[in-house]
Amino acid sequence: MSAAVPPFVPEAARPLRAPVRAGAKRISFVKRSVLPGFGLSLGFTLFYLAFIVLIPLAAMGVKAAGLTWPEFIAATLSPRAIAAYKLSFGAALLAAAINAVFGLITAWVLVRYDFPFKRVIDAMVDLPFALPTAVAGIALAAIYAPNGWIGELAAPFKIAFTPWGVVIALTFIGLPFVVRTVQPVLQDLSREVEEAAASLGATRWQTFRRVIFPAIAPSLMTGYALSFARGLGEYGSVIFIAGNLPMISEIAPLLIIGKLEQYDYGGAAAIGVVMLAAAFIILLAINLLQRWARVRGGAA
Amino acid sequence: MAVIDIQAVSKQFGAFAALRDITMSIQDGELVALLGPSGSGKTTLLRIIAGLEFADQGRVTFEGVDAASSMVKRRVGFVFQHYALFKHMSVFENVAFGLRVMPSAQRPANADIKRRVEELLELVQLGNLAGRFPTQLSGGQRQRVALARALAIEPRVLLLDEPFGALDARVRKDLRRWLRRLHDEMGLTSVFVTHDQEEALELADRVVVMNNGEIVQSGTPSDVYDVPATPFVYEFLGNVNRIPCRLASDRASFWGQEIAVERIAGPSQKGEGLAYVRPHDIEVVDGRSALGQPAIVRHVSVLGSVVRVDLAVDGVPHLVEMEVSRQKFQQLGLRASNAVQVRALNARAFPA
Repeated sequence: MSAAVPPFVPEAARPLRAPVRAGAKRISFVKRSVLPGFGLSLGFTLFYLAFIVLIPLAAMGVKAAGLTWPEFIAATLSPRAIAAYKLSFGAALLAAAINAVFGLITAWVLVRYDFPFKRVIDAMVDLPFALPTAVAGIALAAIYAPNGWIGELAAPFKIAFTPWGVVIALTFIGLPFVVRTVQPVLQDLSREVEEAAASLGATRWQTFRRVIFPAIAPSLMTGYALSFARGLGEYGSVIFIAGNLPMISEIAPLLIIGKLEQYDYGGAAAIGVVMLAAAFIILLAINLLQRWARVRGGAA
Repeated sequence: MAVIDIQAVSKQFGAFAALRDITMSIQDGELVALLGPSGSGKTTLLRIIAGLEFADQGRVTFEGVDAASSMVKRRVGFVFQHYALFKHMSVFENVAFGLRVMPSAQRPANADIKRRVEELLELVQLGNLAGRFPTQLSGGQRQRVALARALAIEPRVLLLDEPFGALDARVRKDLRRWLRRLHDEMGLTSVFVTHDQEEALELADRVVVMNNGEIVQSGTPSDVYDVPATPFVYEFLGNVNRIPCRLASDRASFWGQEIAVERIAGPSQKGEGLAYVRPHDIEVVDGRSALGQPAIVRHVSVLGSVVRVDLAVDGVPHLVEMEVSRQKFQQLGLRASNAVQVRALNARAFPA
């Protein structure tokens, strides 16, 4: 094969962008658009975010600012608090990672195969959303406790009342996030693309790694971020299974509740501020990673 | 030598028989069109040849090797109707894909891959767009990327599923001619599926007409156009007038002529029949001639190089279409409501 084949005359090249109109100087965020309601909807969004999210968070900041600097350090950097952060963030990250793997498999099975009771299983995925978290916590504690069904099987290894119990509870409540974000993207993948990969000689694994995975990676990361965020703030389902031993299985939200019960509002707010800042940084990092994957994925 | 041999292939989708007992072979260097209406089984047949679908019965062999073996060994390139490009990869990576997934023993070095991909992109005239993503390309450009991607694995056989279906008329025409030249220069064996008779007649060495999961006729473009095997082929390929006539065994009398009656399975050779006449096979004859049938001109429409004349012919319940060249039309000086005498240059009768 070489240049012996005569060239194909391409369609007329057209400019990619309309030329910028001279004299259009007015600075505006609003591009001229046929979609109405930009001003109104943006105004509503800002108001709503401020009212529901920013004002309460600011109030927390104000409360924490009422502490003196040494008090703030003492509240947030005590060994007990640091152990709690480690457990909360570590367990939430680990649980989200577990969910990313098994949620992907669950979504894959639900999209790709037909089997009896598929609808029922599909609906079951949402149960952790709907169940009151305390109910989930009690149920988990019952079966994972040393005398519970599963706890008994793992006999010498304790699950409930250790950090592993925390991971299990967070995995339970985070699963639907990954499944529900990956599922629609997987559904939209065309069969033809996979057939094209196969026709070019790719094995099943190569097709998955090079064609399918890059397409679902951004949604998988979204699911991971959501699952992580949910796990970080989770309280109800964890406290029953965790055992709440200070320095070992006490999560940061519990520490906050403990301080509130002792009327130490400033200390509670201080821990809250630290968690908020750390969570914000991690979510921001995941978002940036996701944007990078999307741009690299050419989905832009 | 037959590159692809298809023997007694049948395929069933539930209760629907997509293919019934198909046998055909494709010769080295041939460009074959599978032509038929939607649901005729043409795409299913192509997908079975490609190994994307499996036959319920019968077998497909490539140069004697059973097609159930791996695709790579068979070296089949497949171009999908909607291109099926990898959206997250650049044009370059799309074309390189087939080379990158080769087992490491056969995989070319990175520098070789780069050189080959650049060559292929030059070939399809997309050398300057290697870094673009598929969503940034026009339909014609995407189709050419799909083609380059399929050619990268140096296929013996190139299979194309409605390759020009989604393109606008102008691009389609250009791309069609270019594909024909590509096929000849590269010494490929190609099979493409289409429902567009013009495309099949222009592009293919051989046209295989399919209907209801069966091959109705297979032959050169002029074979299938001039000597259609069945009324279906007559109607599917080009325009045709259907004119009732009376059959007497293997002859029929039609507009003062005796014409042959074609044998087809089913209806009897006697009684009512239909004569099939192409619009350009109808001619105006001298009014005093004994041959021919009286007719009245109803309507005249000038369509570029040809002129279509609608005729009310004696003994025919509906209008008959005639096509004459511009020149001939001016010579005849036809106007609406003129009385003329017409005859058929080429008519064939089928039992109805």
